[in-house]
Amino acid sequence: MRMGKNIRRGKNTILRTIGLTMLVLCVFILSVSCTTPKGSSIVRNYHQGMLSPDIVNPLPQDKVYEGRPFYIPFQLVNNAAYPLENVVVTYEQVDSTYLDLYTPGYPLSGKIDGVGPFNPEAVPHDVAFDGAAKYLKAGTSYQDTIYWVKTKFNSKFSFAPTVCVGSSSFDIDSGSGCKVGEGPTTFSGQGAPVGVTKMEQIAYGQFGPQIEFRMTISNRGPGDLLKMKMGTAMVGSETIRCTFPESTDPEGTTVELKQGQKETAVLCIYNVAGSASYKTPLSIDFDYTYEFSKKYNLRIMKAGRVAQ
Amino acid sequence: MLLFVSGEDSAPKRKDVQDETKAVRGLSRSVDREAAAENREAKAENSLAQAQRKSVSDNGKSSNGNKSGGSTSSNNSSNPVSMGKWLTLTIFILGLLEYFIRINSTDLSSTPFVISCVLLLLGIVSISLKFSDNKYAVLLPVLFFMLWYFIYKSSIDPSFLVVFLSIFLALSTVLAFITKTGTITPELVGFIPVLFFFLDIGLLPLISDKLGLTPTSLLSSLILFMPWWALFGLFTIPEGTFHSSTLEGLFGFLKVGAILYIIFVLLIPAIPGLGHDPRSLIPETGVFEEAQAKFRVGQYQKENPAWSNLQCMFSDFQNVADCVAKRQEDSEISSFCKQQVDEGNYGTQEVCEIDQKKIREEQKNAAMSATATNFDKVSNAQFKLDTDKDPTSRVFSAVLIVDNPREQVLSVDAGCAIKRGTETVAGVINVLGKGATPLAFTDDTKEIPMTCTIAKDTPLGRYDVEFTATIHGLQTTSWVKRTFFKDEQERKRYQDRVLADQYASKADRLSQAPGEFARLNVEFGTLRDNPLLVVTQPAFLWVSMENTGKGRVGYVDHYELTTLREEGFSVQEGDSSCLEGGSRSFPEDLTKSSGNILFAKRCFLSVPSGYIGSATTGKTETFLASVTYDYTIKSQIAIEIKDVDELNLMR
Repeated sequence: MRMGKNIRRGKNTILRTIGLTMLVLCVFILSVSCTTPKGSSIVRNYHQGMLSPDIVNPLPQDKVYEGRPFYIPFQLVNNAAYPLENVVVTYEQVDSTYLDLYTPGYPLSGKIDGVGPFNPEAVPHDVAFDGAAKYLKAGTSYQDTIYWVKTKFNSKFSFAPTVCVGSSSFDIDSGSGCKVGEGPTTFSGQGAPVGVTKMEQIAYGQFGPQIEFRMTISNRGPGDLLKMKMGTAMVGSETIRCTFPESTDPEGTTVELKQGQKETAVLCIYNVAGSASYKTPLSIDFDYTYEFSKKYNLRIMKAGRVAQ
Repeated sequence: MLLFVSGEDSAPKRKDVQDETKAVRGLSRSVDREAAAENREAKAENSLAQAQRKSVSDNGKSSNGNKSGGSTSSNNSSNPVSMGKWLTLTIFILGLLEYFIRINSTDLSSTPFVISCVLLLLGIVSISLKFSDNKYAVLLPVLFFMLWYFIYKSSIDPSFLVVFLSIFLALSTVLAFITKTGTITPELVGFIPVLFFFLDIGLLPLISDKLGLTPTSLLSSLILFMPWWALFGLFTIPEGTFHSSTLEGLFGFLKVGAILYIIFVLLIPAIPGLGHDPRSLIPETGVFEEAQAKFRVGQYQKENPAWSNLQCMFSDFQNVADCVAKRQEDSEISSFCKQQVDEGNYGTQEVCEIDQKKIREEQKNAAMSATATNFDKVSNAQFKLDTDKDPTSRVFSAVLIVDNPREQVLSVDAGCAIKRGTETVAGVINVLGKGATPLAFTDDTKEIPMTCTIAKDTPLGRYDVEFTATIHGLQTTSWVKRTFFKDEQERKRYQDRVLADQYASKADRLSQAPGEFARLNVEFGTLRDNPLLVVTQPAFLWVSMENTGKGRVGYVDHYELTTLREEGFSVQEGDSSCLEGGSRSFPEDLTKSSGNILFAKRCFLSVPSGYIGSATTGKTETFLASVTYDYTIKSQIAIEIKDVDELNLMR
């Protein structure tokens, strides 16, 4: 009798062990085997952060020989989330005493699409630097020179946050659950080298209430923001008026930034219709002109002959 | 005497007696010692009395002698102290005389040298008189100096010097040991007259001439304007020399004045260091004077800097340094122009002075340049002299080595001369066995052997053989980088980046040229040291030619700012020969007075329209300039022509 009980206990132990093992295996298999179902994917939001076009060089070359042609295959890639227009790539600061340029610049026609859900990798556009190195001054063993690859383009970006509008600026409206006039909010960008990085909402006026949206646009890209132009600005379905306080034109819808200026302000006024607070999208489009340059070094080597 | 009386037993009594005896003996010894000391004192007094009696008798004899000569000098006039006073006074007066003769005489004259030798002897005597004992030790450094200079021809061969100086030190040590260090001070003091002798007769200008060192203007003042023997005499006059308080006061004032004079003139750091040279640096006696005169002539007599200092202290005390520099420069120009007018190079002194002042003003504002670092080989020329030869031979050989990496078409004219002090005699040059014919070549390296023959009737002795080579057709290219913007707005936008990328170092802002014989220095822009220009603003151009080698530019055939002319820049205002010129000679005298800058030009340039083109961040371009010129280099070797018999005798 005792022997039987022992046998039963042993069997139970084995079964328990097998069961636990099977359970662990199943969990393991389930966790590594299952993928997201067809038709659903994690969508990256390209319209955030600071993204910028760039000039890349897949075959770097920093030495050329005197009296010989050269070809440096630069490419323009638009890593921003918005298309580029009126793109011109030029080679600047090229010392004509040492280098002859075959193609001083590339005006690229049409739009250069940016990155997006259907275009996650930017398409490179060839803007090769080709020319010939002149002969060195007699006696020199080498000559160092530099050049810039300058890219100038027009583009745009959209700023579309959700905001709380209403006349009450003190308490949270229990219906909408939002508070008007909350403190400044910071943003990482909108997928361009330029973007809104801070916004403040100021509500005022008990009779004819208004909300003032004060925004800061920052240039965090590699180049200079030359000019900005206000596009369409709406709160919900209602158009609002926005201006650049630093603008010199009568409408205040364009601004030219000074050399080295990294920020500019935007001011929008919204006339609040009702007293209840509610959440609604704010949408503003901006057009801008931008340019950036990259410096490259080039050493012209003696070709082993007495130069003329 | 202490007696211990004890009535107890006999042993203590015996001890008492012994102690008493010892005490008595000690007392007697001390008495003896006192007596001996008294004896010694008595003897010393006797000796002193004898000495005094002797000196009185000597004074009596000398006073008798003076009375017979009609002199009214005191009784002490002929003892060593008295002799010392007169000697130092004599040295002072003679030193002043010698100084004035030297500075007022531009002709070669050995009179100052002879006087200096006499003053050396007087100085030795006056110094030795200050020592009552071991005065002969003063002569030891003087004798060794004379030995070294006259017998061993002032050799500075290290192996000889080690032996010679060891003997001197050994002798000094033996003497010091014998006299219980009594000769050390006189020996050290004996160096003073020797030092003053050398300072006076022009050691420094000779070293400058021999070693090619360029003394500073203040060092030149030290050389030329210090009356060394007069100072020696003045500072060694003993106090109480004059019985008259007026004279004492006068000489005291002179001593103070001398110190002030030294302060005014002596504002230099150490004398330029001497290089190691196995040859003797100092030629024979008498050549010192010639070397100093030659040095003085080359310097174009400047005003005494002490006088300049004094004048400026009263006329412009807030700006003494600049005032002195201007007075020195004006006096140098005046002296130079006087010589130029005498030589017929200028019509009047006034015209010459105006011209010279203008040249110096331009030189002060001349463009600067940097030496390019990306040249692997540059043009160069140097002599290799044959130093190992038969001393009886009158033929001396050298090889001129010319580096011509750009394979320019060059030609070389060679010559040689034999020099002794300021006398120069032309030698007979023979280049590659073809006489003095100019040699043309384009090789990238050329070795040109040549010989110089001295005439058979040239007397024996020490000379300098100088080889000269003039290289014709040298061309050196300079370049300068500048950036032009189309307007001020564009300049402001891109200037920081352009400066950071194109002009990261100071050398990038200056014109550059390889480190060869000479170069053009070019600067242009709206401001000096600013490489950024705007085409709408005038561009100021500075061009100067600088001698950067150790030789001399004798002729500039042609210079041109090539790129500026090719791009269409033109002179709007100023010197019309800013962009191109040449065909100009530079005599040796002129180049000496003008320093390293041969010419300097300034003008305004107009920028050609459309120069910027399509550039939107400024146009950077390197502008080339070239100059073609003749360059003369020299090299000399000290030789001694000996007779065959003399040579055999020495062997």
